[in-house]
Amino acid sequence: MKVSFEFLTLFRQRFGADHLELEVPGEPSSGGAPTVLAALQALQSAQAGRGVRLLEGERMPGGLLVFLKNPGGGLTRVLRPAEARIAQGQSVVLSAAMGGG
Amino acid sequence: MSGPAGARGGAPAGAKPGFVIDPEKCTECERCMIACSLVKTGLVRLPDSRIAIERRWPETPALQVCRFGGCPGQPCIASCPAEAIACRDGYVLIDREACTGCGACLEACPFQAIRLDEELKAFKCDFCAGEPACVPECATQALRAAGAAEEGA
Amino acid sequence: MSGSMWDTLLRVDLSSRSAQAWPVPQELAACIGGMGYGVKILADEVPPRTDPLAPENKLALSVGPLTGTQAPMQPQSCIVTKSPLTGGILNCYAGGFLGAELKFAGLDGIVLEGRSPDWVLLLVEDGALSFHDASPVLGQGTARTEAYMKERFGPGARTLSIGRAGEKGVAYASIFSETRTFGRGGAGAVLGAKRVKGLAVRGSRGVGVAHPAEFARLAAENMEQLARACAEEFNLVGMFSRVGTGAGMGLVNGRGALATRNHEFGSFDRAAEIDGYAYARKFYTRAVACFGCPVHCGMLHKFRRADGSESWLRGPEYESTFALGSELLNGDPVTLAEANQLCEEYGMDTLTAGVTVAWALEMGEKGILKEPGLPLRFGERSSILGLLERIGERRGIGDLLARGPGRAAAEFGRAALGAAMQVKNSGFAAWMPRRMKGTALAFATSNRGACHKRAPIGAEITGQIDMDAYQGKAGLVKGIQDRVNAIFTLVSCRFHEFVTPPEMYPRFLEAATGRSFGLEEFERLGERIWNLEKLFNLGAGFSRADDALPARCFEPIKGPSSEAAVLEREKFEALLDEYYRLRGWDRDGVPTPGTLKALGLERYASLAGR
Repeated sequence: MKVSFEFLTLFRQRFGADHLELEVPGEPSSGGAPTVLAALQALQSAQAGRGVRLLEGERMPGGLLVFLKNPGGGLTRVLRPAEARIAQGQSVVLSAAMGGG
Repeated sequence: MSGPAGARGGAPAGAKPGFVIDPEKCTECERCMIACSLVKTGLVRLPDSRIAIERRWPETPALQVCRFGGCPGQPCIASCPAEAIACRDGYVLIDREACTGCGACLEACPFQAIRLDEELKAFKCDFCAGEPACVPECATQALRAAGAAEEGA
Repeated sequence: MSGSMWDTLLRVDLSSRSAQAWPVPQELAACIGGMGYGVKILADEVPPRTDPLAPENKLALSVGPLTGTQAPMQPQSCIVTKSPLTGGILNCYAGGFLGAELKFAGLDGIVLEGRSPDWVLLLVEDGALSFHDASPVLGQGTARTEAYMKERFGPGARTLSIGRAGEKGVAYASIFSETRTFGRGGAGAVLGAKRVKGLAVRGSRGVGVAHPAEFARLAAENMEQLARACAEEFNLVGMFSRVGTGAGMGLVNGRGALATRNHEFGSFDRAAEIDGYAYARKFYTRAVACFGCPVHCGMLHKFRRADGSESWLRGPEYESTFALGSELLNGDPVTLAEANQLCEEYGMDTLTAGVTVAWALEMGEKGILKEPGLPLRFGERSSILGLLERIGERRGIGDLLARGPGRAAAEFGRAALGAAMQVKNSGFAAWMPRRMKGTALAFATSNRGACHKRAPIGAEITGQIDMDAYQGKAGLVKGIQDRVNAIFTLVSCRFHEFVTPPEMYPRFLEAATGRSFGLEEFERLGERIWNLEKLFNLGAGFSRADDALPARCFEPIKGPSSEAAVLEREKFEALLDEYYRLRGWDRDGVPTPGTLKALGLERYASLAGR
């Protein structure tokens, strides 16, 4: 399935773009919907040249924030990428921890 | 910044004293001055520090500290009428007993790295006999020990 | 010196032009320092109904046991006074180097009272104070005033000053200190009312600690924790160290929580033009630090103003990129920088100024407000800079706006007031209460009004906790308020606590002062200070009605990414009830006798005037 990624904060700077689309293998058991983990793995391989480490095995490094964005615009935080499935119309949003003050 | 403070920028054993300084990276945090005065006097008292940040705000600051072998001609030595300053194994040191407090070396030093203390004796950095206390405190590596810098650390 | 404190404050009577060293009484010393000292002094010495601009108001500037030591990220000094903006008790902070210099001058703080017959500059040198004629700099901006003080009193002097806004009594006038600001709550107007144009401090004393070896170990351990955090690519404090506090605007925008157009919308189409990365990309950037801080979150930029001249700005901070950016539909980083510079020169809080300007622009576009010769339009450079200048000068419509967003709006009826984004007349900080329910509670209940420093913004915006949920937020907010109060006695930078494990604080305290402090006792002190502030505010005339949010917060945010987020009145009131219960306060927000007894504050009950 084609997965849309959106990059915020640090990632926009690292990837040099604010969005990207990648083909991500889905799970046959869930009718082709890939997990967020699969999406991150695909992104990491595709962006290997930029040296961005999105995963340590199957775990995300601390401070890496991943959200699923609904067609309506709302973001839902993903804490367990292996369990979260990307539905049609959802995109994967990456950010680093926020700043403020 | 990378790596824990303690391992950053320290000079390998036996290296000649000297600093590599990149003022553009200096954030004026004064941790070098804090560490120096602490190690020399046990108190945080910035006028006792042998390294000082000369503020030229908003332009890049200058670091006032002895450059040792990196100082062209080491003019402080020749400037001293009491011959109280000498260089041994790269260490440019002031003999406090012999110092008369005339201030000639303060004038001569191109880095304003020499000061007079309350008893009117000149003092300067002695590189902490090989392990400068200031260097590990510098979060941006604006200040590094020359030996370590040469090894690309 | 008892450990790292001098146990001495300088008490200054400006009316009689006298100053004396005041040994800190045991009861005050138990409050550790910083905010603890300031709040106790105000509670003990200033009747809560005092006019903030009268000579009877006092301004306490204090530091704490970690100030001037090698402990990292403890550069701040704390000002406590009665606020001319809110009418309640104010605590505000600035980093930089003034706090450390106070310690080097042999002082734990200075308390100003009275009113000088003539405008003065105060010079503190090793515990002694002298008064100097301020007329050469009267009417000058903060930068010129501080440059003058350094010329007169020596380049080693550390300084603070007020600008024209403080001189003219703008309710949210700030106090500037070199490159940092005591921003919130109008402390600048208090100094102005006392005719103090500036303060310079020079010290030659050395700061020691009670247990030097242990303290050095703790400092090294803490430096290690900070270095590890900063080395992590995605760490929040690491991002601050690389890009400054403006690093996270993209995420806030993505979550529909970036207040835009006077809080009408939750996202801004030009956020990427004004965030920290944009400034770093577009302008020369150099990181600068406060005293002893390895994080160096201050970003100094060199840029070209619209008139082509070259200029410098240390900033803008994240909060200012909201207040002078998205909130005003301003996507131009140069206009934003110039607006920030105006606020610095005049000495005004960027947050309250920005929020007040936003209200004025909305009223202007609706035809309710007019200003001869000045269009009032969102995103318009002349509108923004023109209004800021008029506020600083209290000229034209600026005179009305200088009173603060709530007081200005109240002149125009309920609908207008509902669009003034303020709590207790202090402008919102850069967060949307409708979007983040815990932050809503924190804004409403903050003793100094709409304060983000004690809100769960990180946890809510990152989705670590559900920002839409009301449940669990009351306890969370109480906990943050108490903990942050506690660290503001030291005086810690707010960001220090993001990285430092809580157990470090009592260990640092003990090594610095020789006095043993448990973690619970330390956080309890924060709770006691919070309650003391509350009693003062009640005595000043506050009630539950002031722990409220403007009507706009009860209307849905526009724009898809905000998901029509709204505060439901019933749920908010229930949340407030729960918060009061957890605090041990009655339904009116008054601490019960039982609570005061448990906190050892019984004798302050009468402060509340109830």
